[in-house]
Amino acid sequence: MGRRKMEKQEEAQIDLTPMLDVTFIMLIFFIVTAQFVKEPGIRPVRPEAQTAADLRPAILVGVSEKSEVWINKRIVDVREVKAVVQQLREDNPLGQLVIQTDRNAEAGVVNEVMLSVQAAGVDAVNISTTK
Amino acid sequence: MRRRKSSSEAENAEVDLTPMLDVTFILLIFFIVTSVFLDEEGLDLTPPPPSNADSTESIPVIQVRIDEQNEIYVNSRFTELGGVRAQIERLYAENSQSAVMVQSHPRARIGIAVSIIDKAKQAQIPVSFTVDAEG
Repeated sequence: MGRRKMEKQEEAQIDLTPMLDVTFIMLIFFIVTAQFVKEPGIRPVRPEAQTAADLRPAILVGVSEKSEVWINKRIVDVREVKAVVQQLREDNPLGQLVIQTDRNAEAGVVNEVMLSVQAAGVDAVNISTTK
Repeated sequence: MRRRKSSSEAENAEVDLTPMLDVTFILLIFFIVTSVFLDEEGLDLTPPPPSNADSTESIPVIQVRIDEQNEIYVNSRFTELGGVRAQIERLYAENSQSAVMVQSHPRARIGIAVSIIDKAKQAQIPVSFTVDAEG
């Protein structure tokens, strides 16, 4: 009798292997897709555009309404943008860079940022827009 | 006697996967929480590679100037933002070799320049963007 009880207990155990498989697949998916984006720390009102292309940026440079430049949650002087971007690109040399600019920011500041980003070795300069 | 031996041996051979599952779950939760899915969309404003002055001069230019008061002039003629596309399309139809050059004052708003570049791209006219030097 006692022996039979033990058999029942064995049957009550759930086989966790399929669950582990699923969990592993999800884990691998999230590891592969994970990219640590340096967010500028501001949410500017983007200019509107119909012809925009989809981008997967790794570095974001923000330009606020008051034409302040934000990178990685800090205000950066326009003259320091090149050095900061170069530093960030050491972690991710192939990552795209996108400038998130407010639609009311000064064109001169945005142009300065575009020029220094190119001087830092980024080939494509994209400006984030909304539809 | 024989049955007990075999069943206990089979139990011993099974590895307990629960701690591994725990670790995997913790890692999974970490990656779910830290993952950011950015779906940005944007305009490519990369300037074309520099060429000799002779070749650029030969291209007829539709000049779109944005001044300090955010007013738009297409080939020196004042134009509302809504009428810019019609203007540049008309000028492009006159000469299909021409390209739009958006020239902005440094203190003009970038939104206007971006919207004009977008209009030119919608009309499939080549476009470049420059900002005047300060002062």
